[in-house]
Amino acid sequence: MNKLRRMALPGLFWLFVAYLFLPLIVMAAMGFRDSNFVAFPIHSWTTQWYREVLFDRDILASLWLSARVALLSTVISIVVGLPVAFLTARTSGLLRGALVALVVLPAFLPVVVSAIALRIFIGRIGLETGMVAIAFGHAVASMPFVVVMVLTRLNSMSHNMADAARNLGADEVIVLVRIVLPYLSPALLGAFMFCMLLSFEDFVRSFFLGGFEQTFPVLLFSRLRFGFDPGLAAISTIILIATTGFGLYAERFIRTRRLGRDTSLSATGNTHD
Amino acid sequence: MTRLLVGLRRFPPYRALLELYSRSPLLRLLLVAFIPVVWIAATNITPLLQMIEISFYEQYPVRQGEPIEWTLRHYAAFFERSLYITAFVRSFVFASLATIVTLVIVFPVAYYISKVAPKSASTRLLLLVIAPFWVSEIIRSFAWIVMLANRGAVNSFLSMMGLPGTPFELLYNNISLTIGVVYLTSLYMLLPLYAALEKIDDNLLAAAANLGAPARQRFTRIVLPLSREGIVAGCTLVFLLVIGLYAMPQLLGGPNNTLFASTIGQIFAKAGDSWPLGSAFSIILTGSALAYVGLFIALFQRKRRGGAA
Amino acid sequence: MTETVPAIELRNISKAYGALRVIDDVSLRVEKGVFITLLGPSGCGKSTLLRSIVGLAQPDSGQILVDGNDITNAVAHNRPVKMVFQDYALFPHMTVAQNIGFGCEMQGMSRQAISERCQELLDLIRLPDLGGRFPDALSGGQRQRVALARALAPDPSALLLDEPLGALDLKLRQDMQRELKSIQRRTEKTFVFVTHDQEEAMSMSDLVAVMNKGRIEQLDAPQNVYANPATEFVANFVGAANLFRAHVIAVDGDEAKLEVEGSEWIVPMNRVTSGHSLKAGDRATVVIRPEALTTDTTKAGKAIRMTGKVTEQTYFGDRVHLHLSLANGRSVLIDARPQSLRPGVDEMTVECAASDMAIIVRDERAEQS
Repeated sequence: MNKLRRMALPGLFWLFVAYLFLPLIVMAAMGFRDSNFVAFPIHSWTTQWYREVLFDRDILASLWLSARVALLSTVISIVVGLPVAFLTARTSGLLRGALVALVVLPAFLPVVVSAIALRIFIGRIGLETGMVAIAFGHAVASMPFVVVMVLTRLNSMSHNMADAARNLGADEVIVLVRIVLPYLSPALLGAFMFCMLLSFEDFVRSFFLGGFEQTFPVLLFSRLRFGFDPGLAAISTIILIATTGFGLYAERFIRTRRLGRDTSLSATGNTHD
Repeated sequence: MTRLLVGLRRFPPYRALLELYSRSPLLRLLLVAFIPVVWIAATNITPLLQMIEISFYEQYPVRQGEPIEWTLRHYAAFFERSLYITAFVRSFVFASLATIVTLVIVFPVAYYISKVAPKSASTRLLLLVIAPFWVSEIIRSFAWIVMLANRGAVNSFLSMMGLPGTPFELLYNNISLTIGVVYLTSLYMLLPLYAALEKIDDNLLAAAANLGAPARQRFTRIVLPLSREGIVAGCTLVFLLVIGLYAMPQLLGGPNNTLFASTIGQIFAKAGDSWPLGSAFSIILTGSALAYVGLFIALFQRKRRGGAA
Repeated sequence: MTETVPAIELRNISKAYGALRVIDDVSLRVEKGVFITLLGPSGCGKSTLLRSIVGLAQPDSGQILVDGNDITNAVAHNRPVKMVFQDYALFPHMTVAQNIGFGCEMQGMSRQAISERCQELLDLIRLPDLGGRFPDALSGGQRQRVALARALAPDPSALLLDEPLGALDLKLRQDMQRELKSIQRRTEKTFVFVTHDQEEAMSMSDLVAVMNKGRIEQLDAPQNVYANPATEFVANFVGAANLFRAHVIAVDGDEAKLEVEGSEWIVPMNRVTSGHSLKAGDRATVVIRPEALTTDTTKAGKAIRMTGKVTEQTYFGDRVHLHLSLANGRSVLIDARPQSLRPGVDEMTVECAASDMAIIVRDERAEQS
């Protein structure tokens, strides 16, 4: 009985891991099926689908659009998120609460509603649907994350650090360029990768704010509604591996930057001179 | 770079500008606040207000030279057709159930990673579980289609095992949708739970055991109360995510089980003249969802205060 | 002869946060090469005063002069006074050498000159090989010294230190006190040191300014601050003290007759340490240090004697602290040598030589405010 209980938790954990990975592995396998239909069992295998999708004009165009959107939206959300974080750090009490509530508001709206509200907004200001509109929508969605990440880092920064720089002769521009931004750089890089992924993954905003050109998730969605072939499994797998790799790298990057600091502290903190 | 900036200070105008900036707190505040205020006003507030405005329009876009006609009929439309109300209620029931299912599935996983697994491995285990979440909703939906389709992996496996009655209709119903949705939401549950559970000092459990509390008591009296914040945060995130889902219900759900978010999306996907209706529905959905979640949070927090007193 | 220009001169500095006056009309001259300590409890305004000097806080009124130049309105990055911060505030993303060189860089010095200056300072703080390290990889004491070197590198007119030793443990703190003093002597810089730790103030400073509620209560050499406190606050804050509230009955030449808690004491006028002279009718406080009360009652000369019961003993090895409860109910602290105690006897008589006490005239007005 006791043994069973000790096995139960790891068992549930690995069952969950299987639930997460099995569909993805099955999908990757489907990409190798030598047939025009998505079906099991797989009797004969081919790498043709994987080769073919890499030359699919529509897919390449959608990936290229997704990449441009991701980059543009990330740049916007960091350029805006940084001063928002600075402003938030300066406020306190009720004002800060109100500001934070407004900043994170888009994250708490149902995605469909948020996307539609932005669709109405761009229509009114005369912005065409398309690349810029999608990037704008993604920036709105990812900016709160930038603010939270930057603010977390900013809170760990000693108040005296900027003062020390001023005391040593640094004016406000130099304080920003030499002290504050370098100090924030791990958070900024983390935010950069996070925003890229968030944008690249997004479907709903791209769907409602997009024009004639489709981002990759929108293209995939519309193809899935017409029917499946192993090629879709192949390209999905390729994107899956690319984004997961990128995501893991981002995760590890943020983690080691932070952990590296802590461990070096504890390793040398006790040594006396 | 620095050298350049230091050198620049030799020029009196630049010098004067720097001094002005250092001296004037008001100028500093204005400069720092400018972009945030403009952006938040433009992206976080205005679109919502415009949506509210449009929801009261008789029609949109307003024709040139014609006066705006105000109406409540788009709100009334919601109550007039059982189709809408059914979808609305279905959405809330489904999102609530999906949230509970996610919590029940993810809690042991978060508990295992944060409390039971060796500390040295916990980071790696967490990464392992997080990894698939960098994949988009659409790809994940597709992966489950491949799994559950009539000639998909599961049915193929079952028929190989000699189970009679294959293929089973596994796809395009609430079960397949739930399987897919939980797949999507578990990260949003996992991270707050993990953060809350990790904060619980292991010594508390040791102390409770030392005081004679059996495993079940340790769980209900120590672990659950101390992870309440994580549970509330996770449930809130997951609920709001599910209530706004658009793509996955169309790919994995049944054709007769439309959720309200899809209803709204389809209204908007049509021509522009249906925007006032869609706006009104959006506001109904948002208002109810936030109120529902607010009620949920308030309920739990009151409980906690009562427990502490 | 021309008058020497002080390194720092403060003229009537005041600053208030709302109704709270953190600095209350402070004037101070700090001569060149002096090690001065601002000593006071937290919240007494000493740190704000320091930050005002470097321009990180703006006083409401008053003037600040450095080397004779009025810098009251100069922006922080143009002031020639450098500061060592309580938490060091080392830049974590720069190496030790980059940290130390930062101030020189801001002055537009050449790369070559900066690196020479860095090495000079690394040698001064005896960490010649650690220039390439990051602050995270240093011990607490090493970080402290790097912070010192960073502030010294641009050759400031004066160095301000804001409780720089607070984060170190006792042993390291004592080493650093010696080291700081030695660096100050070698560089002949003016040091303005802020602390709430009276031992630290005593052991390092040429001058101690005891601050309370935004004012400087006494500015004096350390031994004088201890032996001749000017106010009750100073007597209490610096070392332990027994305070006896007294009334002046009469003054007769170099002696005064006081009424102290029901008994009459004759005290020498030359022990009045508060600056004002004593006259009949004044209120005064007699300060007696615990170690001035001895069980050795055979001393010649005038002495105050008191008898009471020992109610509490705290043993410190070479010393023992006794609480003596007098007949009138008040308790007196005595710092004695263990050998001088007679076991089994709980009633004892102690006396204080008249020359070992200090008499403070209480300013009625000051007490009311």
